[in-house]
Amino acid sequence: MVARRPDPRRGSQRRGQLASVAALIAACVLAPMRARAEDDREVRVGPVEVTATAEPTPPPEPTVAEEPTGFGTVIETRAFDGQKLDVAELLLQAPGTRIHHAPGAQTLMLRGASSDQSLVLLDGIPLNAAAGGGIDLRTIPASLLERITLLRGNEGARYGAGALGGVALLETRALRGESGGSVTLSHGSFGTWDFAGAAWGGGETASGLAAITLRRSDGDYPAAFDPTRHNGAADTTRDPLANNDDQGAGALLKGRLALGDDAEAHGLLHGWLGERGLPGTLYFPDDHRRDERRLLAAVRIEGRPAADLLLGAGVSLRHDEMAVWSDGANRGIVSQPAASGAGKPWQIENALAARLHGEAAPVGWNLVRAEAQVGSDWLDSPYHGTRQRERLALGLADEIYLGSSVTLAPALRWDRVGDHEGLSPRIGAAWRPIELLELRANWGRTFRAPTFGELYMEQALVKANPDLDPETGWTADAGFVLRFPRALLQLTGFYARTEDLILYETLSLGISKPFNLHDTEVYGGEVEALWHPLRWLTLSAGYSLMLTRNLRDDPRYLGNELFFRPPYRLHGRAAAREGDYEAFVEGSWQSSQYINRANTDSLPGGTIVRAGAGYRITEVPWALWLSAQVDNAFDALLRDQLGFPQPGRAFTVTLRAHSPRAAAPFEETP
Amino acid sequence: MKATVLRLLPLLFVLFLAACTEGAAECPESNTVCSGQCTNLAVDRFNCGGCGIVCGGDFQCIDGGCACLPGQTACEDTCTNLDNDVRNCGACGNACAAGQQCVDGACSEGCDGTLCAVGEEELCVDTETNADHCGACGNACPDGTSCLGGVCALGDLYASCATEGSVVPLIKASNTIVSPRATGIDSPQALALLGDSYVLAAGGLDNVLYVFDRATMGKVGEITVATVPNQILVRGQRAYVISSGENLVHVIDLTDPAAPKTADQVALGAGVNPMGGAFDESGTLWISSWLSSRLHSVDFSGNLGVAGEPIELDTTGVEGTPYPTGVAVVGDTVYVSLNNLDENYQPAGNGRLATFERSSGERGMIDLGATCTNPGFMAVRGTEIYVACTDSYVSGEVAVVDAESAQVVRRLATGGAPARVALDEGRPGFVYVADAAGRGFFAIDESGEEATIEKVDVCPEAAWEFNTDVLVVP
Repeated sequence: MVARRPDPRRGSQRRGQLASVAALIAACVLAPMRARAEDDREVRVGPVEVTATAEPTPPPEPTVAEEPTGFGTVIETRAFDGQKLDVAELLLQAPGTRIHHAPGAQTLMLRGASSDQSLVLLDGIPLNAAAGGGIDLRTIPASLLERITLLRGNEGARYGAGALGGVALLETRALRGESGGSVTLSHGSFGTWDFAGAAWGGGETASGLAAITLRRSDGDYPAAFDPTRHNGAADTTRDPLANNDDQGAGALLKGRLALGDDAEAHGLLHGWLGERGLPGTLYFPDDHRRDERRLLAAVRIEGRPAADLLLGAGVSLRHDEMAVWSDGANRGIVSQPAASGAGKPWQIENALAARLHGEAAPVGWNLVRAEAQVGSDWLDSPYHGTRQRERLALGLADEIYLGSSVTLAPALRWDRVGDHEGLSPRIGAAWRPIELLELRANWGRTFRAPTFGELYMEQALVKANPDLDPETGWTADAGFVLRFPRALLQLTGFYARTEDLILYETLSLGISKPFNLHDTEVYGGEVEALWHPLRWLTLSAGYSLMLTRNLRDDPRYLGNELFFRPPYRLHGRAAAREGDYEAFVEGSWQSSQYINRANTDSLPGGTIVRAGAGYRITEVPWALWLSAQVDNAFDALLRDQLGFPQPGRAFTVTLRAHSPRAAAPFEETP
Repeated sequence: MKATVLRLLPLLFVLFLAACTEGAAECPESNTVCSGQCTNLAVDRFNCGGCGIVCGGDFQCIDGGCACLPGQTACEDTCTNLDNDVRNCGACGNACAAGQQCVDGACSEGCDGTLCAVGEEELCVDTETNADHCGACGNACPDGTSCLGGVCALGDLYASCATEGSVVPLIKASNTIVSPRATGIDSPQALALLGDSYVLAAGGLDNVLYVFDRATMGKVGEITVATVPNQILVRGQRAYVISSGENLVHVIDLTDPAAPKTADQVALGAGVNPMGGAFDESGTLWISSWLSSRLHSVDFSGNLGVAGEPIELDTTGVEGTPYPTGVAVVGDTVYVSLNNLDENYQPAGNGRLATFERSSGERGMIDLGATCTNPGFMAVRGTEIYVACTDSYVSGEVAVVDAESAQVVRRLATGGAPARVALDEGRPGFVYVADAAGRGFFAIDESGEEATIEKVDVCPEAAWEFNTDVLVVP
């Protein structure tokens, strides 16, 4: 539910009188939660045909509430039904994304920003840990998600300090007041099993959803190993990777309750348990293991006291636990040292946040959003000690509609994160000279406070630096969006500058310590296209160019590319679903990347091809599909950014069933 | 056309912004940017006191001014030693007569050195130190170099700087920094001497073995080696690089220093993490395994190495994880230093030396005492083993162990973080110790009644700069 706003894109003017806007509010106990409403999407897209025949709906885009003038990509997971993709693979459907692969975690990097500079929110709850390092995407079960919105560029003014590269908004299934369910079971190479089940129901007054997901993989894929790489006479062997198994379980409970005619309450509870092996390198096997536990809880109330006024309040809690431990003889050299004494060395983090927000349209051509947040992060870690810091935020965003075709979107946010505070301004503009074309431009600036890890973590050979300054950065981008009833084309160019970038410098005997060392720039562009040439066929492609430069450093490294930032990536996908049959093929190519500051060593690029097909066995009472998929179809030899081997060719078979539902981009209704 | 322009505008905008951006070079506090490189104006003879100010002839850059090395005097724009120069004996222009030599600044009859013809004269010179007749009559050393042990070289003592990526030459007689320094190494970890004329350096981050000419400190050759090279040992024309990243010994043939070639690679097995090594008299290389409590051996007496069975060291009583590191061989016994660290890599107890008798297979241990913790690399002089005790990078020392009594007989309290030790075989009593917590090394003189310890800073002033290794030419 949102305040009704003018929609210049429909050529209509805002009429009527509106109540005055509520003033900015002092700290109160409230929660953030994504208010993804049907109205948002109606404002954004062109005319929607809702028919019983399966005409494809227009390609989805970020809603106005999410980002009025910026550039982003929406990934609806239903379009990938029957395919087994994890969250990282879903995020890579969009241009501008890179995934940092390492045995300890897979993290998101947007437009060349680091994982700590790219925010990830699940139903509005920030997942980035105060301890630092980004959020491990493998701890987020893809089967619980319904929609992912990737917003590229500096989003600090809207989503808070730290969003230098952008934001990924992950959303679980919305409650639509209908009943149904789904079950999915997959089995694949390397002893991989996945199960997901969900049930939902309700009506106008109340609705709810319960979902569960289970995962298990042995991870014992064969990895190439050359014991003496510079010796041409030596044989290369392929041995199964040991200690690479993982298992996890997740659950989700959501509920919605109508409070009268103009108010609703929403609740969410999400839990995740996981354990995985950290296999080490082929030269240094490792017996370390990593345990993870997460609990998210949120409650939100929203109401519309007046026709064009929305007020909301909510509270959220994120509880994360993580431990790395070993009982084995292989210590490896990458993982943390084994814990001494009894028990695992749990690192526990809690983040509590309360939020008040409001939206109003005081005059016909203006929509104002205001927000206040207060919260705190607590960390109890064997490597950081016990740490705590407050978070405060006040934000104001405006959308100004000049005529029917121009939107200006200024925004300003003040954040305080522990001892660091700053302003994050942003200005965006959009112009729609004709119905099909929209030109946009944006500029934004924000900062990232050092993480607890950078400030306080002293563990083994890693030292802390409590005197660190925040990183600051600004981004400018411009481009256009072309919308057709069956197609979308988006082209963007951007420039981003970061100052006082925090990097770890190696000190004596392998010790490393963080310093505000560098200024950097990232510039490039993204092209994204999605097209339904036929009712049953979807074609999509994305290309991103991301050139980086080190702007402040020793003359030896000045002007070099940043490492772990592959500059080019191309992705294409074709998917078809007609009647009882479905199929897809997908390919992505990523260029090589430097892996050190001196740009003397690099990781090769590579191409991955994935394909699959499925058959609908029956459609009553539930639709039952059987599908098969091959990943890395050409068995490319892949390595992560630390040189660890990645799986070769893999096969998966999936059986899925779901209750009847509204027409989707590919499905016919019975 | 209009559509094309619209599509290109965003990219043009971006390229315009990028083209207008200039970077800012930054050097450590003690350095200045000259011609796109960081350099220290106090010691760089090509930028002495200012960018582009060159010290010509024999002059070096000392404290930002062009001057002769300590112990030398400028006579008509030439630096010379008045103690032994027959043409400037005791004073500039005071030439000794034919058939005389200059000893301690006075002319005397006879010639203990070499008679070299200079025009129609014969001069008595010391070819070990005479820059006009270095190593042989008529072999003149180029400008900026000295005759050191009969070799024209910039220096006879070398220290490596991790972050600057350099190998700094010095004159050991006075611990004077000379220039230029070898640069372009990504985190030099270890140094070694090849013959009389070359210095080898292993890049810890670029995994390259570099060959530098001692006369110019210019690079003459390089080869990629197995990752994370920890130590270089030289035997004849071969370098043996101990690689902990790939658990092997990478053998490089340096018959032609300009064209290094892989001669052999000997794998030691997964998870070994080899750190240090030492040869015995038979050509067997003994290597420590940092991740296990084992001693590995590779017989290099033939053309290709043959790995032996790993030997379990006796680590009884070690309070923490042993982490075997440095290796030394004295007679029949192999000595391996044990870091003895806890899970945070802090000292868990006294440093130890694990011992292994080659002929009998007996294993033992030497306690290095409470002041020698986190012992690392070692060096041997006669029957004495010099152990670098790194401690927690604050209060380190060098412990001297007598192999015959198996006891610590002396302690050299350097402080800091002694990481590697080099002994001057040509000057008994002189010891050089790399300080991994500091910008330079400790120069120790034990030749007198009491040992003197001098700290010599050679690396730039930066919070993350440190000295990784030191090498002295005998």
